[in-house]
Parts: sequence; C-alpha cells; structure tokens
Amino acid sequence: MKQSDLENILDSLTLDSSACEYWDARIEDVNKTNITFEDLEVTNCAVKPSRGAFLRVFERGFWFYKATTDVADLQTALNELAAQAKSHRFEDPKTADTPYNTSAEESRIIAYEDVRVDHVGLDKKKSVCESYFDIIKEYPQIKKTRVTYADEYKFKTYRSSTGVRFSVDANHCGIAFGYTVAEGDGSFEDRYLTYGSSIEALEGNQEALASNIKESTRFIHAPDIAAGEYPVLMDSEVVGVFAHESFGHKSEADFMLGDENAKEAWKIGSTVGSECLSIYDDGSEKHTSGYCPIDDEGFPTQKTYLIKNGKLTGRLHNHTTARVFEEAPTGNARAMSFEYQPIVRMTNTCVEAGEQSVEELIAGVKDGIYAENFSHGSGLSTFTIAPRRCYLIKNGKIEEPVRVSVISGNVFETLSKIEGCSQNVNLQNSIHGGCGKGEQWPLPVGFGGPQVLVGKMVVS
Amino acid sequence: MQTLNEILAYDSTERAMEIAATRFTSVRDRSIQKKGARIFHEGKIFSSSVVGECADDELLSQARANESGAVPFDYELAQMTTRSESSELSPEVWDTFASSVDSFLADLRVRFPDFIFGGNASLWGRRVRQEWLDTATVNQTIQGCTLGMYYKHKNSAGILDGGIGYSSIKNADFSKSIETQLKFLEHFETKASLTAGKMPVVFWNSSSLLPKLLESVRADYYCKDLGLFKKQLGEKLLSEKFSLYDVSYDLSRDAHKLIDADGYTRKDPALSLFENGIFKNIICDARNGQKYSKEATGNSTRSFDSAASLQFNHVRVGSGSRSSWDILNELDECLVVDLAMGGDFTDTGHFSTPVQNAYVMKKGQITGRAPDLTVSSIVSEMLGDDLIEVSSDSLDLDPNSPSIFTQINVIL
Repeated sequence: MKQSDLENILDSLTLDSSACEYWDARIEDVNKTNITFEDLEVTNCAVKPSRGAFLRVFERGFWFYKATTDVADLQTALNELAAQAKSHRFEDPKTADTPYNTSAEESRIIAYEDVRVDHVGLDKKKSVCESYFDIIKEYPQIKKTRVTYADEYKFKTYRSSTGVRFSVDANHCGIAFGYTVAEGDGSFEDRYLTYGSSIEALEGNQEALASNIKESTRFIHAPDIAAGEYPVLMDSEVVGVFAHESFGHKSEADFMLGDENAKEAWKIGSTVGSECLSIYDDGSEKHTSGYCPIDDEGFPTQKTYLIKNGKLTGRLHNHTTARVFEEAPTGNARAMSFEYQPIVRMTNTCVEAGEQSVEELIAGVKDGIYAENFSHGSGLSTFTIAPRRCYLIKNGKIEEPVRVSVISGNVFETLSKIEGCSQNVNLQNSIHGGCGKGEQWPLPVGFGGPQVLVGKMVVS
Repeated sequence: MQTLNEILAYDSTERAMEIAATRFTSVRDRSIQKKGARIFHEGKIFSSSVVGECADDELLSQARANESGAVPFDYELAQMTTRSESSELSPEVWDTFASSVDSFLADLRVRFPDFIFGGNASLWGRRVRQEWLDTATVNQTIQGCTLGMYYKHKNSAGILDGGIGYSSIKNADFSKSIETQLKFLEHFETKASLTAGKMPVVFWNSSSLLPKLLESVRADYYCKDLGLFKKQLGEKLLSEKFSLYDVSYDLSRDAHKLIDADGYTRKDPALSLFENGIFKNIICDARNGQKYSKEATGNSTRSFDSAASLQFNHVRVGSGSRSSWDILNELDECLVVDLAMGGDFTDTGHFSTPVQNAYVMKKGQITGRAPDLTVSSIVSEMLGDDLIEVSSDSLDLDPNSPSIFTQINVIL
C-alpha cells in the first residue's frame, strides 16, 4: 500500500459523536532489515515488513485500546472498541479531564523519501559490512565476532476525532561490530558502533574500527578494580546514559501520577545539582536516533530543559500527565510500535557543555577512574552503569586499563558531586538496542554530553 | 541435501489492563498475526516474513525471490514429526481474571495506602503453527495470565522501589504467591541494620547469578576456548549442591518448545548442564554442531522474522531437598534481595550489582529493609565453596524455581 492509501484509510474512519468522548487512530508501516555475520559468515539476512494500527477510545475517564494487523478493516475495530468502552463498569480512575489533544492541527513531515534505507538492495548492505572484514582479519587476538547490520524506515500516519492529523517518517541504519579478543587466559568483549540516516554514512570508518580493536587488546589482561569509592571522569557516552537513566526517567511525569510527595519533591525551581549542570531533552534534531518531530498524540517536539544551572526546570509529559500537572504538553508521548499505546518517553537527552578542558578537569585527581563507554545502565534511586572500557587516573593523567563491573551512586548525591563539565558535547546515536520502560523495549533514543567529573562514586 | 519449505505462523491475542496509581486506567486488546517462511534448497536458506495477513503461498514466493537474502547452510535437518498440543485456560478465567485483579487493587489501596502500584495484568493466548510442507506440522496453543506490578513508597526518591508478580499457563489464582511477596512489603518502612562483609544472600530471582555461567556453556564460546570453563567439560568445577538444566519441554515449568528451529526434538527434554557441580554438557544447534563437530542439543531457536540461532530454552536450577522458608528459618541472618538492577559480570567472572531493595531476615523473621548496598562475588566462589544450599522452591512457593542461597560480599 502507498502512504496515501494508509492516510485515506484513516480519513475514511467515522464514529458518531455519541459513540464515545474521543478516539484516535495511528497506522505504522515499517520496513526493517537485519543482517548478521557470525565469525564473518552470514547467518541471518532478513527483510521485515510490518504494518498495523493502534486505536484509542476515551470514555468516562478510561482509555480503551486495540492493536491490530487488520488495517483494511479499521472501521469495524473502531466500532467494536467504542461499544466496549460504552459498556465498561470499572471505577473511573479520575486522572484527568480531556487527556487528549484538541489542537486540530495538521502536519506532514516526510523528511527521508530520497534516502529511504528500504530502497537500498541487500547486496549493497552486505557489501558495506564486508568492507570492514579485512580490518578484523588483521587481528589474530580476535577469537569471535558478531557483526550486525540493522536499518528501519518507518511511516506513521495519525488522525483523531478532534481534527488532529499528521504523517511523519523516520529513517536510520547502523552496524554493530561485536568481538572478543583473547590471549592465553585473558579475554575481553568489546564493540564498535556506527550510525547514520543513510547507507553512505556507514562507509569509510575502517580506521576508526581498527583503532577501537587495537585499544580493546590492551584490556585482555587488565586487572579487576579494587572495589571502593573513586572520583570518576565519565566520557560523553557514559554521561549520556547517566543523564538518561538517573535523571531522564525521573523526569517522566507518569511516574509521579497519584504521588503527591513526588510532585512536591520535584518542585520546579528546586536545586538538585551543581550549578554547572544543565540537562535537556529534544527530539527535533534530524539524523539522530531520538528524532521525533511530532509525538504519538500529535504534539510537536520541543527542547525541554529538565535541569538548568543545577535547578529543576521541567518535566516530560504526554497529554494525560500535562493535564494532571496543569502544564503544557512537551511532545514526549511515544509508542514503540503499533502494538502499544503512547506513554511518556525521552527523545534525545543531553547534558550541556561546560567550560573546562579534560586536562583541567582531572588535574587534581590523584586516584580515580576514567569510564570511556558502557555496556548497559539503569536508574532508580540508585543509578548503575556497567562500563566497558575503564582506565585508572593517577595524579591527573589517564593511565592503564582496568576492569570494572559496575559504577553506581545515589542520583541526587551524585548530581551534587559533579565538579565540572568539559567543553565538547557528543550525542550518541544507535539503531541497536534502545530504551526500555515497562513492556516497551527497545525504543530508539539518543543521549550524550561532555566529559563530566564526579567527585565520588561507588566502583566495583 | 533435501529441499524443504517451512512456514512459522503466530496468531497472538491479548487483553491487558494497565494499572497506574493502584487503579485500572486502560484496557488494551491485541490481535496480531505474524508469519515467516523459509525454503531450504541446494545449500541455501531463502526467507521472508510479514506482520499481518499473508497467504502461505505468497510468502513462499517472496522467499524464493529473495536471492540476495539467502544464507548458506551445510548441516543436516532433523526429521520432523507431526505433533499437536494445547494448554488453554478455562473459559471462566477470561471473565473472572479482571475482576480478581480489580478486587486485589482495591485491597492494596486499603492495606498499603502509603504505596503506589503500577503495571499490567494480562491474559494472553498464542497459536503457533510450524509446518514443514508435505512432511509434518507442529501445532501449539498456549494461554496464560500475567500480573506484573512495580511499587513505590510515597516518601521514596526513586521512581520505583520493587516489584511483585505472577505468571502461569495453568491457573489464574495469584493470591498465594502474591501474599508471600506482600509479607516483605509490610516491613518496607522498618530499617534493618547490616554489617558489611560476606553473608548469606538469596536473590528473589536466582537467575540473576547465572548469565556469565550460561554464556560459558554455549558451543560458540566453549569451542573457541572462551568463557569461564575452557576445556573443562567433565570436571567438577562448582559445588556438589549445584545442578543446572536446560529444559526444552515441560508444561509444568512453563517450558513449551516441542521442537527446535532445526527440527530436533530431544529424547529427554532436560539437558544436564551441571550435575552436582560437574560440567556435563554444552548447548549446540545444527550450525555450530557442523562447525565444531558437536552433536546438536535441540537449542536452535528462531522468531518468525529471523534466522535460527543458538539459544537456551528454559533454564532450571536443580531442586534441593528443603524449602526456601525452612532454610531461612535456620539461618541466623540472611539478605533477601528483591530488586538488584544494573549489575554485571567481568570476563573473568567477577560479579557486582547494586541492590535497590532487600530485606534482612533472622531465623525466618523479617527484621526490616536493608540500606542501599552493593553485592560482589566471583562465579566460581558463589556457586562453588560459598554456596550454602539450593532450596526446593522459590521464595514465593513456586516448586519450579528453586532459590540459590550463597555467601556474597556485601558492601555498604
């Protein structure tokens, strides 16, 4: 089906105004490709088309949803959903009045038609991956490799009973080079990621891959860190995941629903971190993995400061939470796919640049850790980051590699222990993995920042 | 080599009720069809897939046309046999589950007014058809229910403090299991004192201790001399109290893979990985079996839209002789870990994780909630000399999920 066919399906939907208070419908038409090479042999080469619709009906304080692959007959699904809503008997949850978009705006943002990754042939995609294999073969220490190519072109169209209409597309691709280097009894697993919004962006990174592998070999016999508290210099990738996990999720307003204490603790204007710290969320930047110009309730994205100069400045909202908090929607209602309802999610979450160089930041560190990148992270009252490559810092200099299982800390304590931020910001993007919240994983997001020095963190 | 056409089709239905602020806020119905085709022909696998409706013939045509996506294969496929199985919940459950959960939420609002609960209660069904055309068909229908909730105390600075849950394909009566979990919640606001150092610890979900060990018993790691147990198959490496199995099919344990993605069915569904501390077997699929001259063990798994790959089925720790609570009643002190997120292993087997929610128990009595802490150990020690005992059930009385009690270093 063409994009216009899908838009016409939504335009043809009708429902009597007495059938329910509000309804909306979203169709997602997605083409993905996954190619996997294990030990440089192709083991998976799959093109994955997917098309489905998500319907929402709001009636007497309660939401009713239907996810279906029967896109051709959405009218029947909508009628049945409205009838179900009329007959429900559950107690009104009393969250908010009119928790839906009434702006009646129309948008059509098709930004990637000319560079659609699903219009590039599989042979080309395979050959881009294979162009890196000679580099991998140069290193006898590499015992195991897993090279994964992934791409996605998504077209989304939406319509609501209040007159909101939008169509938008997204397009990105990437290669993940996962490998294990080993020598004698020692081994180390590492990876190198590439990302772009066109195939061409993935070409020509051979030198960077070689440099990454060479550095990984230094970790084969690295000793384990002695557990304890250390000053930690976090590089951009680690800073990004720290901001995302420790603070970004806390800013998602749906976590505060029904919790008056949380709303009070999250009072806008409260000081929560060092004055040098500012964190924002922004889905407007094209060619990033968190690009989301319009959210799944029809609100445009925006740059939302969560912290500015150490003070709480904002929250991330969908329409329900915005009504509850009596604040403006922020364009952060996102659904992972047509199978799910939109919930409050981040887009690109970033720490703003500071004023120091890296050398200035660590000049006073006698015995610390430099965390260059990470494997995974999570954030509750204590955040955790499982780093990949870490190095000792001794007397103001980054020195030899060391193995670390996890770096953790209390979120607010850590925010107040930030001693400085460097001048250079990097945003990390990836099509591999993503953010998880409840059952919705992985959602593409971006995160990043400058290098940041924290005075004390638990390292083990 | 033979030519085979395969169709793998999923028909999934689900009714999920979202919970926020300890109340139902929405109901979501899902009706999703997913289908994949593979053609094994002249040493290559041609594939295609779709989310939505598509006739088998059309999908096979798309697979045949997908020359660029063809992947080589050089192994023998097993002989499939036609099988059929159904495990369905009684029809009454579909009517009563929602009202049971609604009553439960009302009870929580009264019993735990200082907590906010969120999450999801769902009834789900899945019909799977794996058909090797003109040869054999495996049909499987499974239904189940799941209640997965997180909670947060109103004075807590975190976004959540812990979770409670239930999942079964047998019955929807979650009361007994959930009640055991709620026993700990009653002590959430009582602070327990704790001294740093090695002490008995049990994780609510003991599988948190296993990832590095499991990686090491995969053929694609072991046969390359990677992982923790290089060239040590057949040796006693861990505590004699520790046994570990990969179970392909056992409905009583929520394991329901009748046949793997290469067509293999095990004679004995339970493959012993460790038996009384002895390293017994690695897992292997047909591709890795051909590569490393090993026998396939029925561990090939695929989704409708991906190639087959080596995966574990259902991993089960071997049961001990005493229940978790009998063991707890005997221990002078034990840390019960409810929530430990974000930890990891190094390549040398060191394990460390922050613990966001844990309780201190003395002689079976919950004395209170532990302060924020980190636990740290090494795989060979925590499943070796430091292993105290493996119970016959889980902390919430599930006989299919034994708990591992072991000495672990606690860092405050």
